[in-house]
Amino acid sequence: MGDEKKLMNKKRLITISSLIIIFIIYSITTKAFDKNIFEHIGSSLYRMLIGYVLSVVLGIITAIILSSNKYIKMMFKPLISFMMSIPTITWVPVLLIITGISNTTVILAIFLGSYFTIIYNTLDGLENVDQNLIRAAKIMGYNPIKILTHVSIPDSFNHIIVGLKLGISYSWRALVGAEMLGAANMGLGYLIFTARQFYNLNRAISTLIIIGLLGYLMSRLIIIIEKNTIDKWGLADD
Amino acid sequence: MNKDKILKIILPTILILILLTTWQILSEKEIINSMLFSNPIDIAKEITTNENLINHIANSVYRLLISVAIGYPLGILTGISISKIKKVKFVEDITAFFMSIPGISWAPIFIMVIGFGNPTIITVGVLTAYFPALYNSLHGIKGMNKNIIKVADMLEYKNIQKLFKIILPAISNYLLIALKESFSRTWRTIIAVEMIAATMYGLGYMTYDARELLNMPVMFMGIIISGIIYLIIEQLIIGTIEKTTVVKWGMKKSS
Repeated sequence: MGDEKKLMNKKRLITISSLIIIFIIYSITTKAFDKNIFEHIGSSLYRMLIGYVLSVVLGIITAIILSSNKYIKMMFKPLISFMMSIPTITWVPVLLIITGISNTTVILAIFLGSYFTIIYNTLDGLENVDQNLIRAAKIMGYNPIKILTHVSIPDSFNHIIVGLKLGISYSWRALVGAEMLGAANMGLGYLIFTARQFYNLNRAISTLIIIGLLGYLMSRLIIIIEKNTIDKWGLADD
Repeated sequence: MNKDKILKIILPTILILILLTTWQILSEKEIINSMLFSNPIDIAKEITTNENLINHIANSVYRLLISVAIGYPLGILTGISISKIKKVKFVEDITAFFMSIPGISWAPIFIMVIGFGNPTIITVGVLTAYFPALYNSLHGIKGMNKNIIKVADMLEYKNIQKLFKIILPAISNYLLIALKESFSRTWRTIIAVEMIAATMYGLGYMTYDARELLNMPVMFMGIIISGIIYLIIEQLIIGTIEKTTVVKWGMKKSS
């Protein structure tokens, strides 16, 4: 079974990489990009990194604070689920006026894209921690911080990872949207938007494929993290 | 138990009232710039007096419903018919790739090919509704108990009967997830595409258009209304479908 699976994965890897090579040849022969394509990709990834890391860290911290008290959690949960249902892109026009055309606007949009989702899922996870484990830890003399880092967070990690997975795809969407609406003069969203102005269909399609590919790789990244933690620790639900 | 239920309603209301009054006071005292951050009373006035709001909402919801009504069944049908071939894993990878393309980045391409307005918005909407349905139906069939199909074969069910009586009920949990995902993705995408491709109406168009005039209350109204409309749609459509199918059949507990 294990060998078969490895063979499968190898086959998949070969098909995917051959598709990528075909795409690269296509984009070179049609002269879809000029030299600074890598700068565009780099600046998008840089914004994504800052915005997403910020929202993961702050999201998890916020969720831990909110879950410290039953009543506080009751108070904030409806607000968070409402904020989750707002399309992130509608924040962009407001942000454009408040922070102007800059990196900050894009980063804030990325942040808003995943922040509430991560809080929501982390709260869910912390709610479902086995109370007996916490009692056991208390008996063994763990202080609250040690309980958090050694019991609560590992036990709720499969919920947290759901939030991270959703969050990274929402953030990526928010990034492309924000860059398109003129929040920057660099980046993949900007590139695809200017392709329309110059009526360069090849460039638009190639950029679309790059955007999709990077988004796909990012969600794979989270899945790899999932495999190396949850599956290894034996926490998977079913 | 009852006390908890009451608290569940009262506590969030208190929080929202506190937040709104702080916002109002801060902007009245000019601690935050009232030009940029507006204030709740102005936004409420805008919501109650804006005559075009209902048009904007109706247009956006119309586009959403049309897109999902076309894209969702199409995705499921493709998923079911594809699931028989051997290279399913490959199709799954391709679908996952298409799912990770943000809907809004299709917009420039379709604007070039089709032009501005409803056709572009709905085409992008259909695409965003299509792929989650395809992906989830593929997954559902993969995890389905194959023996019941053998039973159906033995009872000499026709293909149509097999589809409606065996396959669709068996994967209904996945279909529901797909419906939820289709709705939420398509709503987000439609609002986004409206910002660059709509010509007259639509919530996204309204919000983006207000930016040119620096009309902050309208922009905040856009944010709030698009959230509320989505919540209503989720409760009305998905909630009802959930109650009449999977909850009734005992496949999922009602929350």
